[in-house]
Amino acid sequence: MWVYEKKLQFPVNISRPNPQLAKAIITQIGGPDGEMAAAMRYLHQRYTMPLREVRAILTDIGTEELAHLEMVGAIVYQLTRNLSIDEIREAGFDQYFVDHTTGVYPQGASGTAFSTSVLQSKGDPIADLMENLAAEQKARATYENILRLTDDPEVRKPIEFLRQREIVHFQRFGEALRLLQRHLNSCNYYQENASFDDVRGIEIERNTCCRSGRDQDRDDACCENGHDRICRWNEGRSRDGGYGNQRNGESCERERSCGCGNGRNTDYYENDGYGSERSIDSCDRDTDCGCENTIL
Amino acid sequence: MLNRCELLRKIQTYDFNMQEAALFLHTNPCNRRAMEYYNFYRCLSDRATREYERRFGPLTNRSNNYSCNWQYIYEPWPWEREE
Repeated sequence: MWVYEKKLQFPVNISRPNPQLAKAIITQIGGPDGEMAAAMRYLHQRYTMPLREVRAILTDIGTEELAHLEMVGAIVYQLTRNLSIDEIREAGFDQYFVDHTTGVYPQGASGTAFSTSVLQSKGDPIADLMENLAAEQKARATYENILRLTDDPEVRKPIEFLRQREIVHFQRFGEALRLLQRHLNSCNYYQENASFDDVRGIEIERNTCCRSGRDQDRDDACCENGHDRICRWNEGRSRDGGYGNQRNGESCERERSCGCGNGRNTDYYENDGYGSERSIDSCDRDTDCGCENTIL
Repeated sequence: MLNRCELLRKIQTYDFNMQEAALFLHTNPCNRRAMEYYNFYRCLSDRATREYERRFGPLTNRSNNYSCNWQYIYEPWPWEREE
């Protein structure tokens, strides 16, 4: 399930209304490459996706798209506040106005209502991931077209943020696709549909590949990592339900040791090049869990 | 002491960093550096969120409600312009 957080992912504060621009930007709500299409696409593709990593990517990018939908909604809302009838008429906003007043309605720039015909859930992992890669690029191009239409920095900032996210999502989907292909028959990715066919043959192929030492193009050691992935895949597909943590093969030591950070600040953060907020005092979540004021 | 907008901006920044690290970890679950990065910002976010909710009201309908009344509805909604 989802729980709403009462904040935007990135702030939107627009002081100058511009209904003409709102009519263009609304396409990222209900248009063919908009955020609603993206969220619906990813959140529906999840169910048949065979790899746990890719299910996680689809779930959390799909959820982030809902946050983007809210950001674009906030932009459209703020661009259409306090309008007079003359301003509405002069801006060519009258057609939208007569149908929706200044309500935010999911439609494209040309006025076409949102339609699921712009998205697909094919139940074939390669087809679905390829569609997602294309969708992120199309959304990026749309945001670039919006940026060509306005000089208002208060509009440009959130639009630039959204454009950046399309690029990051494209990268994550690219990794997801490479990860998936790693589990398929590298001689013929299309031998089977990993969402539908019995994938046992693919797993055997994968193990053989690992033992022979091919496919070591990752920073992690191929064998233990690859083997672990297959175990987890089997676990997710087993008949005794998805909750068990039993693994059939060797476990991944790396993975076991990577959850121990506890959020403590170390010297490491001063040099790691990730960005802001380096000089904050140490933060020990174990002793400062905030439970003391819980009202039950 | 930070005002409401400033504190909210901090939470947004920390949560963005967590989101970015989480997406990366989905396809790189054994990357310790990313895991530490995620934990670091999670800790900062928890702390800032706690302070915010204590001073200005809950951010979700599951948050601590530090008052006798239901505070969730009173703080501005995200699409309202910050003054």
